[in-house]
Amino acid sequence: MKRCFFGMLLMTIGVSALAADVSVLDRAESMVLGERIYRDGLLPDGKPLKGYVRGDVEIDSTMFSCANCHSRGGLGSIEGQVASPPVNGASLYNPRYLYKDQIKNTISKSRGVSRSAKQLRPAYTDESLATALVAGVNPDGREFIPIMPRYMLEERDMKILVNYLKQLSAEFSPGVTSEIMRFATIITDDVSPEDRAALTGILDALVTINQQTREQRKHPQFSKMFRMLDTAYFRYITIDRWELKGPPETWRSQLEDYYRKGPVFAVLGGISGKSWQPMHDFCEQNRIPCLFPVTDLPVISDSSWYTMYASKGYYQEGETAARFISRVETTEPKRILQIVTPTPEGEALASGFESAWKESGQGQVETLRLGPDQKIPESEIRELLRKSGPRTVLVWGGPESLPVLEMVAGQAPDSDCFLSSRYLGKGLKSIPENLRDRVYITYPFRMPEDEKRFEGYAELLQLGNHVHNNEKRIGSRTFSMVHVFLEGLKEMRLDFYRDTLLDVIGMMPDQYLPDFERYSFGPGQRYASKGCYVVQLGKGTNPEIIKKSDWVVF
Amino acid sequence: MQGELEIMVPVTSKRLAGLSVTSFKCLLVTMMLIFVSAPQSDAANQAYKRSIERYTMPDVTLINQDGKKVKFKSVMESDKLVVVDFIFGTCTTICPVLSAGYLNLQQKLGTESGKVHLVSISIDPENDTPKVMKEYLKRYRAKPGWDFLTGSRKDIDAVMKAFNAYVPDKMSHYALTLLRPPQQDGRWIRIFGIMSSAEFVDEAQKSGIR
Repeated sequence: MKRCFFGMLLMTIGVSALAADVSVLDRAESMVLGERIYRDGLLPDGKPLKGYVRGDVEIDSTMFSCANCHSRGGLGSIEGQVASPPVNGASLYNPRYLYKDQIKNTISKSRGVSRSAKQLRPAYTDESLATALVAGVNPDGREFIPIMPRYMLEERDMKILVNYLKQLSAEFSPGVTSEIMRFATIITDDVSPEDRAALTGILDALVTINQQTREQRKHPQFSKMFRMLDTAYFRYITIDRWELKGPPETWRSQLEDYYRKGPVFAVLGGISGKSWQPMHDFCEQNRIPCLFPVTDLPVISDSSWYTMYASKGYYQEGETAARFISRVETTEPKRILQIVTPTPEGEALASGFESAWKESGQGQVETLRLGPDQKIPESEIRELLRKSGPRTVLVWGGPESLPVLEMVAGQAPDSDCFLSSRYLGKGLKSIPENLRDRVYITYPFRMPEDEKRFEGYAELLQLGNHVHNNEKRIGSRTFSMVHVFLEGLKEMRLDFYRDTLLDVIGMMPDQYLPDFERYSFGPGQRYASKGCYVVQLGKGTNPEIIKKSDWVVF
Repeated sequence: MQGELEIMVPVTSKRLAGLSVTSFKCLLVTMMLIFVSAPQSDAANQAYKRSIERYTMPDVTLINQDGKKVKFKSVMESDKLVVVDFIFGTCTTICPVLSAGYLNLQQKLGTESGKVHLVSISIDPENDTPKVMKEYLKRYRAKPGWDFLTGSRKDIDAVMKAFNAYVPDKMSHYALTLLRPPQQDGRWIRIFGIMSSAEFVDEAQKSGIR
């Protein structure tokens, strides 16, 4: 009874609020304020939007906002066995139909015919939407499930939110027509022709398979239902090559040029040996999804939305080393010496380490950065080791930094060393056998013995057209991108909004793909595979890799 | 039973619009979700399933929001009322509502809230690092007495299994709250569904806050 009364009270407030005069806001300003309510749960005056769930559970929308359940693009979600229906403009302000009717309507519309189907609910109006938000009742008078908050919204704020919802995912994103979906991939000029071919081979295969499926419908056994779905869904996929040349500072303007000439829906992978920052910034500012480029130098950010990476790359290795060391129980404080080669790789390792080390609340890290010539200052290192005795030495460099291991062994034999296997590359095997007991290595891939069952995945997608050497994992990583993209495309259905593609990928179950352990997702999670092993090497010239940690170290 | 319970049927697709055309079950769920028109229940008419269970706690070590190791078994054997739920930091729908329930309980109990130990266990341990968990608790204005625990996938699975709450993937989890009265007889109250604030306080008091 109490709840009923409360609902009625709210309904009265809502309706009377909307009937009152409202001040006219600048359209852009209104959208910014609306987005803040929708995504962050903050009202224009900076106070949190409040409401009630389950009758009397008070909630504050800075804890969970509209976007939390209904997703950023507004197309809704199903999670925890609760369905949050679409709340974007195109859905709310049109009648709602059963899914099969939605498909049939789409096809009829494309043929200029209108068909009648039974509505699940009529279209909302501004007034009925306001009532829904405060009283939890749809235009038919049906009540929402109890975990949909009933909001306390005042007149002006309601107007702003309603206006935002009306504009939210109201028109399809650029790059999609009823015939084609246009994509691009980004390749920078530091990439060798072989590596480039490893990437494009997979993308070409995707395009070929897409074209082949168009032919399927000619087959007499292609059922009526699939023909219907195919008519509504099928689009030719095209993938432009955005080749970036010259210094990285100029990449941004090259990207803008490409985009102006041919707007794409999303960027499908790509490859660069340099930092992904210019591409990341371009996609972020133009709101273009970029899926799993082959880079080990991603941008580390917990607020960026548009680029999804397979992992944090070198940074993640550094983080893992810090967590591994911080978990070792010792009576004495831990002393860390970090020797950093001043390359993007070395800096990313150091930065990941420092961030996780700081988080663990442990002692200071002493950092020695090599000069631009990357020469190892032997006497300086010996002096540092002599002064403070045994400690942990992080050697964030390539094979040329291996002599440091000998210096450490000579000067402070009780010290442990940490290195990155990815940075060492083939140099890994050159770690002197007598030092291997004291050397720990971050190993960012699945263990070789476990990886065997994934062999052949990428070849499958290439349909035997090109078989590339996958030592650098470019083909297999691009294959993983294609897999996630296709799963996302399937879930995106007929809602061709860029944010929705990222929303649905964010709701995907965990995936088991080549190279990295468990890709896991979640709204806003942008680094799919979260771990890295710490290993040691066995004896011999082709040493066994011995696992010393779990994939995820806490 | 109210409609609220009956809608909790597992579905595989993550989006309402994405429900399969052919699956009658899914269609039925869609219909039920859209047509939830159950009359408002009064307070006496509970919208959740309650049962008494006995569970054996696994002997595992988890990590709390401060990065400290905690012995799970001893946390569960506290002489306070222990409340457990399963959530994750980036969860969209169910966890925020469960957490709002925790927050409301702490507020409603006031000074008594010190007699209850609220425990949220991550079902996305890879992502839920101490940093993520700490920020989550801060966002929900958690008072002391509400801990968020993570750990290795193996240990988290063991905990989920111990509570008969195992889900192979975090996206298919469901709303579950478990209360352990302080009498130490291994009895747990299992609540499937979402409680109102009044119901949660009532359940906590019935379980015995002392």
